[in-house]
This record gives sequence, C-alpha cells and structure tokens, in this order.
Amino acid sequence: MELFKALNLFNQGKYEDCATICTNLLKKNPLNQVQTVWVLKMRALTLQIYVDDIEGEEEGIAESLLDNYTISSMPRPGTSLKNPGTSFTGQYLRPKTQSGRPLTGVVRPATQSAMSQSIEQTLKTPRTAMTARPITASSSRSVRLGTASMLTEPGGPFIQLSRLNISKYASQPCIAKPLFEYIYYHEHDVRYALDLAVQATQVCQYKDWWWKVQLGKCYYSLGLIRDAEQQFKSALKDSKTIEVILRLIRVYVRLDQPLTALETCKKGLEYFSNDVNILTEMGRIFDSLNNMSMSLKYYKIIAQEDASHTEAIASIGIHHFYNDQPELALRYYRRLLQMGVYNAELFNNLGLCCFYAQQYDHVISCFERAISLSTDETMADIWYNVSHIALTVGDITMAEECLKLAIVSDNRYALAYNNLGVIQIRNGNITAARTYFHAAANIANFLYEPHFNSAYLAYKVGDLQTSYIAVQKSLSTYPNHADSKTLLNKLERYFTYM
Amino acid sequence: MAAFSLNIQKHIESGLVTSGKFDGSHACLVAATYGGNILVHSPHRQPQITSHDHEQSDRKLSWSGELAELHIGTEITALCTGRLNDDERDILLIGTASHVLAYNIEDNSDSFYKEMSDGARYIMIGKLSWLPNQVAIIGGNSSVTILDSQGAEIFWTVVGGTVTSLAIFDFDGDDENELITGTKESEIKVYKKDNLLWETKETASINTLTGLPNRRFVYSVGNGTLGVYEMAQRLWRVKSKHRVVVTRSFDLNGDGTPEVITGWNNGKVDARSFNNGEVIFKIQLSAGIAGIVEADYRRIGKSDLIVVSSAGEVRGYSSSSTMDTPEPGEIMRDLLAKKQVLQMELRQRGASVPNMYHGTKLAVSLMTSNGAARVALASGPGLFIHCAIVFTEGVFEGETLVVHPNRPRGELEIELRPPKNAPVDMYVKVCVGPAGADLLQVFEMTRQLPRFCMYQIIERPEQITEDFTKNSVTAEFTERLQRIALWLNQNLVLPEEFEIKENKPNNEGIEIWLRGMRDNKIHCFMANSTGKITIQTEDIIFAGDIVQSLSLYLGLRELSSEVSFPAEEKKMLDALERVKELKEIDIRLQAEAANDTALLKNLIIRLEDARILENIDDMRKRLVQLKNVNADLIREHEIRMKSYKELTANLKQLNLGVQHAARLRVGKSASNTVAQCRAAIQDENSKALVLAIRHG
Repeated sequence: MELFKALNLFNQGKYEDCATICTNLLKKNPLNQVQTVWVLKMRALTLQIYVDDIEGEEEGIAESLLDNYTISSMPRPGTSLKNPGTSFTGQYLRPKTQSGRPLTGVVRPATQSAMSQSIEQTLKTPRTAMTARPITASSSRSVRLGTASMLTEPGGPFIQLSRLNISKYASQPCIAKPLFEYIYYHEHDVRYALDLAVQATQVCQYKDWWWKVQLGKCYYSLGLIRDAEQQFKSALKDSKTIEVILRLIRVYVRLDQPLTALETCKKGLEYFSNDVNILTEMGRIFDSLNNMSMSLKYYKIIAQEDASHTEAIASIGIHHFYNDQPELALRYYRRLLQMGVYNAELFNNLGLCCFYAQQYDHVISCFERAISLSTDETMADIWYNVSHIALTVGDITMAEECLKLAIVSDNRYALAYNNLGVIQIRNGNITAARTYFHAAANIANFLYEPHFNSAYLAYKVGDLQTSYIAVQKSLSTYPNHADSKTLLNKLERYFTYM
Repeated sequence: MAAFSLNIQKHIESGLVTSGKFDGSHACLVAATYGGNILVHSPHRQPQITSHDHEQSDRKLSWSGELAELHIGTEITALCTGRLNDDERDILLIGTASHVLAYNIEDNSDSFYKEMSDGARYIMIGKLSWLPNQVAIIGGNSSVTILDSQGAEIFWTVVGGTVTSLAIFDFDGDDENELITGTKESEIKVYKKDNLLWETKETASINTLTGLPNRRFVYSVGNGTLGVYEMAQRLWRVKSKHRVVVTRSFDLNGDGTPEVITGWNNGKVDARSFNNGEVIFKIQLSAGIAGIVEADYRRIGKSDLIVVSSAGEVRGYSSSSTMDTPEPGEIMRDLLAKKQVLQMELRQRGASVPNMYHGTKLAVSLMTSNGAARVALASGPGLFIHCAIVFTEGVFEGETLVVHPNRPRGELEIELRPPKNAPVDMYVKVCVGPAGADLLQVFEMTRQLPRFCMYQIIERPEQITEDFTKNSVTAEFTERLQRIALWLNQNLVLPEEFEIKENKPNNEGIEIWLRGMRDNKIHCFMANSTGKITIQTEDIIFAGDIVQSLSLYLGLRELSSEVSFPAEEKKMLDALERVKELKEIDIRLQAEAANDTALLKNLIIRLEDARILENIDDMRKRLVQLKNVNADLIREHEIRMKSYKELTANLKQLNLGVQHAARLRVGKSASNTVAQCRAAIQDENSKALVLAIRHG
C-alpha cells in the first residue's frame, strides 16, 4: 500500500513526498528485498532536479579562458565564433551587454563569455553584481542548477558513492540507467557516472545507444570534447534522436567549427524536418557569425513552425529594431506581450520601439512599467535608455540625472560613464569628461566608444600621443569604425610633419 | 639559382612538410613545428591586420603572404594533403599518435576525426586500382588502414613492423596503382588488393619511398643508402654517411624526364638522373632539410620545387632553372675511367706474369656447420690465399668483410651469419698467389646464399618432447615430391643432393630434421606422397618463411592450412586480455586526469582573482594547493604513459601475431585470416581469434 502511494505520488510529480515514503520503507526493510523502492527513491530524487542541461549550458570562466579546442588561430572570415574580428559581414556592430556579450534577442546558453584577451579582463568584467559567472562548467552545474545537492540529508547521503559496487549494478540494465541519472544529475559526480557508463556499455556489448549518449555527456562535462564527439556520432549511427544531434552541435560550437555544426544541423533536419530545436541552433550559430540575414531566415522558419517561440520572435524583433524598422519590431514585441511575457526587459524594448516609431504617448508609460517591474539587474539599463530619450528630446539635465541614476544602480555601467563624459564636454568640463571616458574604458575595454571619445578629446586639446594610443584601441575593438580611421589618418599626417 | 627564397624563422619538424590548394586554386605550404602546431603559409594572401597583437609577428616577416597557425595540441606524426571527394579543395590530414584528423582549412571544419589505435606514422592520399574512389591510406604500428572520405574504414591489413613510408604507383605496368609500404624492420612490400606482389629486405629501416614513372621507385634507408628499383630489379644505389629525409621526383632541368630529388639531414639537396644516379645538381642549405614539395607557389602556371629546411628557410626552384653542375659531366667521367684502365694495363704489361698462374684453380664450397653457414675456399696447386673480400648486404656490419690471414694460407673458411631467412647475394674477391709474391691473381665470383642456410640438417633426435609435436602447420600443396625435393636442394645447404627415386613405387615421403643455428631449436619438415606438408616447429616465423618460400617456388596462388601453435595462441590471448584491461584502465585514468584538470583550472582562476585583489594570503594558499594538484597530475601522467606504452606494445604484439598467422597461408586464405583476426580483436572475442588463427 505504501509503495502504491509512493508510486502514485511519483506519477503526480510530488517527488518530495514520494521520496519521504520511500525513505520510511527503506528503513523498515533491508535493501536487497526492496530494490524497487530503492530505484523509485532514486528516480524521485533525480527528477526533483532534472534540468534541461542543453539549454542551461554555461561556459565557465576557466573554460573560456584556459581551454583551447580551437584548431585555427586565424580562420577565414565567417568560419569562426571565437574571433569576432574576422567575421564582420553583418549590418554593423550591435551594442554589447555589461559582460561583453553581444546583444541578442534572448539570453542564450553558453554566450555569457566575452571574448577577452587578458586574464585580468576576463576576471574583471563578469565580476559585477549581476553576472556571477561560474568558475568552471563542472562546478557551475552543481552549484547553480542542482541546488538539491546542497541540502544535507538526515542520516547521511542516500547513496554512498564510494561504497557502491559499480560493476554489480552495471550488469543490471534496469537499475544501471536510473542509477546513472542519479549519480549524474543528483550527485554531480561525473567520474563515478563515467565509470558506471563504461561498464554498462560493455555489458550490453556497445549496442545500446543510450549509454553512448551518457558516455558522451560525461566526456563533455569533463572537457574531453573529442571523446564526446565520437560517442555522440556513434550513438547517432544507432539511433537518430534530436537530443544527440543538439549535443553534437554543441560539441562543434565548443570546438569553434560553426560550419561543421551547421552541416550537422542540416543532416539532422533531413531526419527531423523543420524541427524547431535544430532550427534554433542554426539561427543562433548564424547570429554568432554575424550573418544576420541567414539567422533571420531561420528564425522566421521557426516562427512559422511554432508561432509562440519566444526566442524566434524576440530575435526577429531585435533585428528589425537595429535595422531601423521600429514599427515592425513593435509588432513582434507586442506579440510577446500577448503571449504573456510581462517583464521589465520587454517593456523597456517596447518603450524604445515606441519612441523610434514616434508613438510618444506610449513611451513614458512603457518605461514607467519597466521601472516598476525591474530588478536590480535591469534597473541600470532602463535608466540608461530613459537618459537616451531625454538626450534625444534635448533635456540634457534630465539625461544627466538619469545616467547618474543608472550609475547608482550599477556603478560599473560603462556606457553611462561614457555618455556622462559626452555631456561634460558639452558643458565644457574637459577634465571631468576625460575622467569619465577613462573610467568607462577601464571598466569595459570591449567598447570602442569611450576609446574614440577620449582620443577625440585628447586630439582637441592637442595631446596627440594619448590620442594616438586611444584611437588604436578603438580600432582594435571595431576595425571598421570610420571616425576612428579618419582621426588616425589625421594623427598620422601630423606625425609625418614632425 | 633559387627562384625565390624566404624565411619562416620557426623550427620545422623534419619530414612533416606538404603543400595543398585549400581554396581549390592557390597553393599553400603546410609544415609542422614544435608542440603540435602547424604553420600554413598562403603566399597569395595579404597578412590579416592589424591589431597590436599581430604587429610584432608581422614585422618579422619580410615577405608578403599570410602565415596562419593551427593548434593540434599533441605531437604530429604525419601530414598529408589531398582530395577525397569531388570537392576541388584539398583537405589536410593530420596524424597523431592516436588519431587522424581530416581538416578543411578554408572552412575551419573537420571532415572526420578518427581514432587509430595503431597510430598514424605515415598518411597518403591516392587512388588504388581496386578501389573506386580516392582514399586515405594510413600506416601505423604494424598495420595499414585505408579510410574513405567519411573516415570509415574500408580495408585493414598487417605489415610486419612500424610503417615508415608509403607510396602509390604503378608497380607492375598495368596502368593501375599499387600500394607499396616500407617499414622500420627494413622491408619493402608491394600490395595489390589483398595480394602481396613482391617483397624485399633492405639493410636498414626504410626512410622514404617515392614512386617514379616507368614502374620505378626510389627508396632510401636509415644507413644513408639511396637507390632506385625498376619492377623488382635494382637499377642503382649510392651510400652516404648522412641520412635521407625526403625523396621526390621533379623535372628540375626541364628536359622532360623527372629527376630524383633528395633532401639530406645535413642540409644537402641533390638531383640525380634516375637512370644511373648521376648527380646533376646540388645545393647546400645551412640547416638540415625538413621537406621538399612541389607547388605552383608563385602562380606562374607551373610547379616549382620548394625546399624547406628545419630552421624555417624556404627556397623555390623553377622547373627549368639552368644550373651550373659542379660535377664533371658524364663523358668526362667515362674518359677518366678509360684512362685509368689503360694505365693499369700498361703497368701490368710491364711486369712479367709468371706462368705459374696459368691453370690455377680456386675451389669454393658452401656448407653449414658449427653454428654458421660457411664459405670454404681452397686455392690450386702451390698457391695461397692472401686475402678475401666478401661483400653481402645485411650480413656483416658495414656490408663488407675483408679476411686477411696473417700468413697466406691454402684454405680459408669464412663464417656467415645472415640474421634473416632471405636469399642473399654474395660477391667474393679472392687474391691468390704464391707465398711472398707481390703480384696476385684475383678471382671474382658471385654466389647466392640459400634462404635457409642457417639451418643444419640433423638426424632424427632420440627424444622428442610432447610439446614439440603439438606445434604444427599442415597444408595441402598437392605437388609431386620431386619438386619439393628440388626446392629443398635450392633453399638448404645440404651435404649431398636430396633425391627422390622416380621409380620407387611406395615411397613414404620426406622427413627432414633441422637445427636452427641462431637459437639451436629443432624443426621438422615432412611431406607425404600426396603433397601434404607438415612442419613441426616451435617457431611460427620459421614456419611462415617456409610456407611462403615454398609456395613462391611452386607458383601457388592459394593455400590454406591448419595451424596449431599453443604457445603462440596463448601469447596472443594474453595480449588480447591485457589490451582489454589496459583500455579500461586508460578510460579511468583519462577521467581522473580530466577531473584534476578542472580542479587545476579552478585554482588558477582563483589565484588570479586573488592576485588582482592583491590578497597575498589567499594567493599563497592557492599556490600551495596548485603545487599539490600539479604533483598529482604529473604522477598520474606518468602512470598513464606507462600504461599507454604497454597498450601499444600489446597491440603491436597482437598485430604481429596476426601477421604470422597470415604468413602460414597464401592468397585469399591469408587475407581472410587477417580480416577474421581483426574482427575478433575488435570484438575482444578470444574464441574467434583462436579459430581464426587455427583454421584461417
């Protein structure tokens, strides 16, 4: 009866209650008589923290900084994700977020990392209050997604991994699989999970594709990307599943081979035609390659397949917004609103769209709602945008106030410092302006604006050497910036006179 | 003169240089440098600019063109470029100790990444006659694997020893390509499909092989020998104290026939005519040669010869570059030789020849006794042997032996110990004359040592251990005993000719007992009247040699046999078991290493964090932790290397075992054995392996 109740609770998704009943049952009987209960408890505990680890994937600081799976150091334009300088084929430079991530429709997995050159920068940029990046991927998952493991259980952990007879359980397929998921998702001990998977796959003579996928997952989280690739490929040969295709795509993205990843996508689409998940990956990859038109094409296909796909709609919206079609963008954002998305970011975007589409009556109310909904993370962004509107309507004082508010909510908001600097130049406070630009450049040297501004300022006051250094920094972050180029030409002419 | 020259200013690994057209039209140079990096030099591209990071490296390069680097991460053992499918762009194949990576440079994408348990020592792309498409041929530790454009294995076979070189060319003149392999164990073999067309043994490990037109190929070996074979006959060979790094055929003087271009490890490059090996051109570079490739580097429509030295110097020579030959020409040399001969003759005429030399004789006999094959020389009446010069390949160290008795003797015995069972040509020069003479007569003669001259015929031993009789190979040759007897006479040194009486009605067959003089083991060769042959021996290699030699002599294309070598089987099963174990251990060690690496990364980030925050105490704590993890990692790495070494040794032993089993059969049966053994090893199925060895 107890067991039946537990099963029932399990089916209802009340995993915690189910686990309690199982614990009681296990206390009463020795383990080998009630293996069923044991497995049930394992399942219940696993499902409590069962996460979508494909969408929830994140690259740690250590991975992005220290790992180098990339083969080519100087790839052709449009063939690499890591070298943004080589792939300027899109419209122009989109603004970047605080952590240096280019702005996209929605926050995507594994794109938190900025492409930074130095260890200082990598460590500094994410150290704002808002973007707590994990140090390594293996630690990230256990801390951020699997909070359950932080709970200490009464009477010690449910399963003592070090005392587990792995080879015994590996030979029992019906126990091995739930046990693996328990170790992998609940205990986050990839090494034991790998050990189990290796033995279990030997038991079934390398014929079960499921084990191959699990092996691949273990290798992937251990950072053995090439081994993971082999396992996924071999699993795909046995059985075509969307999950494995997605994982293989991630492998190639990690290896910085976007074209191979796209090829994998296309092969996957042959079996699962118009599958939204695979199409999303394609859209994302094209987006990261700055190939906006292709990215848009795929997002449009997704929107046709799944009319309520948030990422597709938001991506199309942002594309139109940055392509000077705020009216179109407005329609997509309103669609999101209709779907029930109700948050600060959306109202912020709606406000901006309304402003550019000259529907001024909505602008203020949108931003008011955005501010009322905003959290600490988004507050600064919204104030920054409000300041932008104030600047455009000519209210410099309000703009300055708003920028200061933005800095109050986030004192490392580089763009706000930059704009404050510009306002200070207008007001004639050269020294203050220079300080602001330097502050902005120090916080985020992936932005070209502060560099250019300080170069321009230095040029105006006649400090050619400083100007030269700053303009070169600006050009290294944005090689095609026309104004910087002009300034550099002027400076070089001066230097040749001397 | 060099058409162009430039300097990469990086160390280039010798032998790992190739060129390809990665975008389909422009030739690029690819070379491996230290630490698993590959340089790709594209002369048609302007260097990508121009951030600060690149500026310094750009300033070093005084020439146009773009130098890109590929990071492979592990030591590169082979490089090759070519096309595997219809795409007109070349792909780059990179071989490491455990994998082969097919990489598309232009797209920055993999074509395939394939695990090669035998490693990839040499990679070649080409078209073989029996396969419809271009394939990649990979030579590893004692195996050759052929992959298709998807990286799927389509052919696998064993060769005895580590493959050091491969070539694809038309060996037998049927306008279709055969595969030729050279190994560290100094064997050259030519394969057509599953059949071994021809094999030979050289004197040291094979360095390079290059196919030439007209069924010729050029080879070079580790002791500095370079030579050319036509079909199966050697045209010429030269020897040097330096080592050949690379050979290539290229028409350097523009006369329409290619020359043999050789790069040496002392920095010399020479071009030789392939008819006689005469040097027609040579240059000297300051560092050893790393590679020589042929590519249209200046985009002039025809190929240049590009020489790359290990110090990164690149020189290009166009195909019709006129050159000043430092050597005297052929006619000059001919004349000099003639002059010398004439001068000799003049001197000889001047001296009077004592007539005692008329009718002198030299008796030569070959025998096997006292642990070696012996050549006995005895000179004619009243004359003594002053000196004997014996020249054979691979028998003595340095190929030549001069026997110079203290005092001239009438008889002389020379000991020969050929290390391998192969027929060896022996050239003997004997100087004969009366005691105290200063003018000697020279006898020259050529003899061939029989293949099995190191085996002595003995009586049937009194005691035969039971274990001995268990080891046997039985095969149906279905041949008359007379022919087998002929073979025996040809391949053994027998005290007297072995004969089978034709008219004897019920002869019971041949039974011969042999003693190997290298290891004193006893072997037995039996043949009955129906042509069924049984070889009882503990030495599976010897059995294989006999089967191969006999079937070659009898012209057999197909031969299957029943084999029983319990000791050999046990060895292979043990190796298989070990391989299984070691693979499991390796996976575990790998996971552990990955785990530790993650920990290490974590610590480094925390350390850097502490450094930026100027938190010295924390830094110290992290550094101590780092030190501990580092020590762990080093220890684990050592364990892993040891287990990896054992794994490769065991794999090699397995492969050798497969080869020995295959050598006991001929033709289809042999290739079947290889295929079945391979399948059994891959499935780790010991029963199937034993069956494959026993029954083929």
